[in-house]
Amino acid sequence: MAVRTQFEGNNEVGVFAKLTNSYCLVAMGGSENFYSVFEGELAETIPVIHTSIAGCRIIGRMCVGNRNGLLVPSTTTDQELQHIRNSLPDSVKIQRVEERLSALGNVIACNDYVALVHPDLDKETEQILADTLKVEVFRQTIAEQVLVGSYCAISNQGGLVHPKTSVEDQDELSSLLQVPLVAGTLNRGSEVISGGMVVNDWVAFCGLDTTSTEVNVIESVFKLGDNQPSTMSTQMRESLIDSMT
Amino acid sequence: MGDNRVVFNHGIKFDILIGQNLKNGQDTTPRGIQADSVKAGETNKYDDEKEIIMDDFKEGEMVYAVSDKMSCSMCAVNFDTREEQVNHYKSDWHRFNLKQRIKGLVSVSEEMFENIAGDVSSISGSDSESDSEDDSTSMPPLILPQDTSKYLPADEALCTRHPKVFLRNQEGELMSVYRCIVHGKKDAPETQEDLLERVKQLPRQTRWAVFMAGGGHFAGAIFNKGDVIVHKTFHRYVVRAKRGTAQSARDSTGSAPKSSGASLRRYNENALKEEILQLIESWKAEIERCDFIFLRAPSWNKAFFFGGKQPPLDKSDSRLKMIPFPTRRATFSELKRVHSVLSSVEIYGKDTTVSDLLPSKLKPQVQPRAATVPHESENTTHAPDKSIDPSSSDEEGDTALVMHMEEISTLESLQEYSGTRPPRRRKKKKPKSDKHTVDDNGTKEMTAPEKENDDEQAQPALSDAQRKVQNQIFTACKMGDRIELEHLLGHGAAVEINPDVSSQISVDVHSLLNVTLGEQCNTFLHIVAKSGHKDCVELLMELGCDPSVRNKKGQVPYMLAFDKGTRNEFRKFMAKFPDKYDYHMSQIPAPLTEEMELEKKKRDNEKKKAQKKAKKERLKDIKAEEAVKRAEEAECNRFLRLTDREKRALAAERRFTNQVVQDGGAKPVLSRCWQCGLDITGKIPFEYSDYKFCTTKCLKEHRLSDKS
Amino acid sequence: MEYIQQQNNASLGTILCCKCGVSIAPNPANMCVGCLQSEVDITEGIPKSATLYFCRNCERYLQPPSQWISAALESRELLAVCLKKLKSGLSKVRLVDAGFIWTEPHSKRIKMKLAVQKEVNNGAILQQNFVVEFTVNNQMCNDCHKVEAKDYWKAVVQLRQKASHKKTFFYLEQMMLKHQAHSNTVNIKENYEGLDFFFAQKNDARKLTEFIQQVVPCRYKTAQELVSHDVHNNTYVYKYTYSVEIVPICKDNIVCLSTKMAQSLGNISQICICHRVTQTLHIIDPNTLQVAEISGTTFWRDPFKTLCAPKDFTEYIIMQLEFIEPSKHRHPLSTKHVLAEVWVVKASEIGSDEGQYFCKTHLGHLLNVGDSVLGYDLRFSNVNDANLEKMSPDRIPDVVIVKKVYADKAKRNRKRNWKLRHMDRLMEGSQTSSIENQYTDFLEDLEEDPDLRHNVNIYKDTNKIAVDQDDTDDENVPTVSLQEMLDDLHISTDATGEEGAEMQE
Repeated sequence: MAVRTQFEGNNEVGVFAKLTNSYCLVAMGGSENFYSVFEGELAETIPVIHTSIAGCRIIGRMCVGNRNGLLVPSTTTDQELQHIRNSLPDSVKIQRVEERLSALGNVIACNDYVALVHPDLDKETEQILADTLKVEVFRQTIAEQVLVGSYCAISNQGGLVHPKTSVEDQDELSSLLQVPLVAGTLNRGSEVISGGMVVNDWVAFCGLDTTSTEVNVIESVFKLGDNQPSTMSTQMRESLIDSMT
Repeated sequence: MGDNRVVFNHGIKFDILIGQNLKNGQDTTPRGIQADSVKAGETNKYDDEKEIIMDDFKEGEMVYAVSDKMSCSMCAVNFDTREEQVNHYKSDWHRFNLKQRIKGLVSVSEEMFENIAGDVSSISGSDSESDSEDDSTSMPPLILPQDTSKYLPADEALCTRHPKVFLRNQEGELMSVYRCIVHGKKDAPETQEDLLERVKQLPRQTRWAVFMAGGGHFAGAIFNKGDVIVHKTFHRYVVRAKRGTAQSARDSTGSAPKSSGASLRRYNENALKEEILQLIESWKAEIERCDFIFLRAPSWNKAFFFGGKQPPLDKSDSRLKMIPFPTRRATFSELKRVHSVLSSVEIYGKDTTVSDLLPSKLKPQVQPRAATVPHESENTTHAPDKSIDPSSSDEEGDTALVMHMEEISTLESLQEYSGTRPPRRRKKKKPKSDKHTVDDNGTKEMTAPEKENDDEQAQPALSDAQRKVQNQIFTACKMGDRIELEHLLGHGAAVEINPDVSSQISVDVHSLLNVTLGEQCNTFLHIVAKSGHKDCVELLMELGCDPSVRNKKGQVPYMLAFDKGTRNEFRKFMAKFPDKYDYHMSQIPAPLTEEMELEKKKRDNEKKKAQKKAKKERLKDIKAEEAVKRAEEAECNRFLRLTDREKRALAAERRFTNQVVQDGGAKPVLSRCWQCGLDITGKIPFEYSDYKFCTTKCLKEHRLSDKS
Repeated sequence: MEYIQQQNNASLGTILCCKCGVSIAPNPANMCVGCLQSEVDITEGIPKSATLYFCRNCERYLQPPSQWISAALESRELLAVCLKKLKSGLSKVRLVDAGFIWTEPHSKRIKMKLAVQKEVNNGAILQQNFVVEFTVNNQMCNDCHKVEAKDYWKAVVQLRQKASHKKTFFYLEQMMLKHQAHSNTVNIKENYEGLDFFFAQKNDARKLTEFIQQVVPCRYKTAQELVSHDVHNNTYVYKYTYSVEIVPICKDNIVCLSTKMAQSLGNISQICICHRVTQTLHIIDPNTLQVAEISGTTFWRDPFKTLCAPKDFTEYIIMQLEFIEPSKHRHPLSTKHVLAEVWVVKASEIGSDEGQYFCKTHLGHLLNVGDSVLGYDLRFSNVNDANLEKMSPDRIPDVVIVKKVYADKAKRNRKRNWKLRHMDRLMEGSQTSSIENQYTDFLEDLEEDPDLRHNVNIYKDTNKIAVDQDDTDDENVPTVSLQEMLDDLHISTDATGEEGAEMQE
């Protein structure tokens, strides 16, 4: 299910929120309406954490995370780190990273298994990324853009990439990430995908401007159809995998 | 040579690995299993999941599907398996192409990249090591047979010096582990049993910390077996480009540069130190639990760990060990390499002898007996599952260890050389309680004992009394105290010394004369020559100090002589005793007798006189020349001061005279000095009013007479 | 409306238009053309219709604010006029293309097709074509207005000279031509003893007045006549008149100064010849070579009249010529003239014994024995001049020689290979023989006086040059050198001629 919302009149939801399968971060200082949208959708399943990172509200662009962990830039204050750590589930590791490209959300795109990173990302960060988030890390560009984190959004189910991504690149990325990909837009034609939305395996939040067509695309590629009670399915799937192995 | 295994091994773990591998249904190559096992499992799980996802797709009406076209358009390659694909994406080639693409350049083919790769020092981040390199260096250890091993000390001096400890197991296979993980310098095992015991302990000591610092890079990690528990690397700009030294080193030489780069480096150095301090502090608990701490911190980097009021690491910590082989830049992968190298057991097989492995340079001197001695130990079949469990060491007791080790004199002396490295100069010597620290050519405080200490190694038989005498002689030589020297060497040596050994000593004094001392291997004669004590030279040589003995630099005393007088001393001695020593060897050119000296003096005096004379004459000439010049100048000035009319008149006068002279007439007298009547035709006269004079003197006279 | 494709990448996939969901190639707006069009209109703010003003008489279009430009239909000029009309709207977009759509001329409609580009939200550049329709309205231009309203003027300059001939006016005409002083005249009329210049602006009239004052000695008076008066906004409409009176003395006139003035002019003798007229009158005493200048104001303070005018010339033949040194005591002496004593005989009386007259002349540098000269016979002339009458008769010379006669008038006329330009409307009506003669005299004056020529544009007379070639008998006849001549500016003139002309200026 894809929900449309707005942060203080701004459609760039992905900038002010970070959503994973095990937790959700929302920026402090938003309207109650914004929070209630998230909490209404998520509060029963995962914690919705109100926080800032390094005193900024653009938390979605500052940090990167998935079910397994959360990486925050080195500028994050101890207080914030403590707050987040306290609010996160115990299984989620949180780690501060010293990285020149400190807007981690812009330079890293990941789901629970794989991550695409900016070609210039520090190797140490890559290592930490792999260790903390338990992902395979690939250096790649999307539609000739190095800000892979900004121009694509991926979940375990699928991914939405920059509209200018060529068909070959889509194929390549899809095989690399092992999720179906589609080129598309949101917020009425915006190509900054990750800036405009947050997504996990069962829900997506996108800007209020997002048209129904775009919502449709999002729902179908991320498999957010109502008939899939996704929390269940992911849990199911995990156990299924365990039993199969 | 041989294959490598990891020191820690556990049967249980091995089982898991097998299980995993079976489960994966993959061909288990021993290579990299330990590191990759978790990942491999996960990937596989992920693959499964992919299939499920695919199934979901088929059920739903959506057309979105995971592409099965595995390729990299940037590098223009296709892949058959996901592993290939993943590996490709992690390869330097791909990264390089990625950067090329971002720069708007064309991608390069793999072959081209291989060519370029040499030039590209660092593909990304601070890590300079490429993956392929890592692969080649990473040890592929899986299991290890151990315990049933024998310590094979080939030659005690050599073996204890060698960075590795060689062992032989029941099978007769030769193995080696790094000595530093078995024992440190101080706590060297006394007996072979002790050593073996320690080796056996190794698999239980799994928690290692490795720290490396150098050139602004720092890397630290704590390992448990092969797993990294925590690790951290950072880099600061501290090393002066081109120079290659740290800023603090430069600053300590005196004037500290004030450039922004310098201050930046200074700041970074402090920051790096701070960071390291903090890191080690934060790891304190982990480090406490570590069994070993390996450190590589060349030169000033040591200060990071041992400097400050509260040094992060304790220097005296017995767990602290230096990494005994060269390392590359401090990076995480280098840490891992170091760890794996340290933790690896090298197995050479049955046929190898220790001597084969030892540095060839030393081989001729050493005949490792270990190789020749057959073991009559166990002949039980060596099953890995049995041997790997260190606890089940029932065989241990039966293991008959053949002792080949001889008595080791002192451990410290043994540290002095290492078979693998050229001898290094030790910059600092441990201060000893009653001795001053001394440098080689120290002038005042120079005392023998320090030298002697080194000397001791060469001549261990030197007794206390002898040492004392030598000491005194040295001091006397240094001070140029001839009387004392005479006293010591000639007659009274015994008087001073303990009466018990006096007789013996007095005999020995002369044997001491040509003994080399200190690092420079100088003899007393060297010392005396160098400090220029002429009288002592003769004395020493008379007493039997050989001037042809060379010191370490190959210099004879004559070469070191302080001045000409000292050199002459040698020559005089040569004249006196033309056959006593081999003067050709001692490079003393020719004898010098009294007559020769006198003659030379005479010659010199004559020469000096001649020189003085020549100089005087030269001066005279110069003076004369100058006088002429001055006169000319004065004349010129005077002429210039004349009015035009006078100049013309003068010129006309001269012309006229010339004319007359040319025509054959006698030189006419056109004008005369008013006072003395001298002919001043054609000369510039001195004049006042209308009177003209030949000199100022005449003028003055005229004036005075006028007045009167 | 269409997109400007910035790069053409064949492998680009398709996305769904974010509004309508149709499959499109990605573009900066990520919207299909239709949706984008419905979202934004880049031609907003550009008027789709406008009015052009057209003057039917001269077939020109008004380019605001006040310029009239002649432009054919579908011409570039017209396009420029049309685009200027839309200027304010077009400033926000980039104009890519503009052209006309053909319309019937009599429809009085001009249709212009424009293509404009503009960057709309997040970097998408849109291009749109649209048509602007112009309605052509008639409006008479100012020039045509003036033509239509025939004697419309606001200011007039009445130029007068109380002289028997028009040489001054000929000279003035040339000066005005050279300095374009007449450019704003609405009309020029010839009048008794002068010319009237009519202007639409008062300022233009003043300008002309000032110009004339720079050129000839004169004085002027102004007058204004109230034409209409609007009591409501306190505006008055006047017609202004500048009455300019030129000093009635011309070149080669003999004047008789009052004693007072003669004294004030350096004690010059009373009877003088005016040898030149510029901003001032230049007079010379032929007996002493003393010269003086009389400005307009000096003249009007104490006006005097011409004693003799060129029509009273009598021809004399020089019988004897003797150069003399001019007196040193008179001090502004002419350096260009040479004083000479001559004996002359009237040309009509030559052969008879009597009637040889002695006189001094300033033309010694020109004259030879046997030359014929023109002069005044003061002895027999009948002059009514108060100053002259006061003079003692023995101080009045018998004859005053004024100028040299060079050759036969007709011959010179024929030989003259140059010409002058004329103002269009001047001297249209009265081309009498006397005026013709006066004009010829003026031309001769020009030939004889290089100073005079300075202020006049002289043009080559191409018709006469051919005739002239064989006829070079009289060497000493003054002519205008070829260097001084300009090529008349004809459209047909070849390039070399034009170039030469420019160099001479």
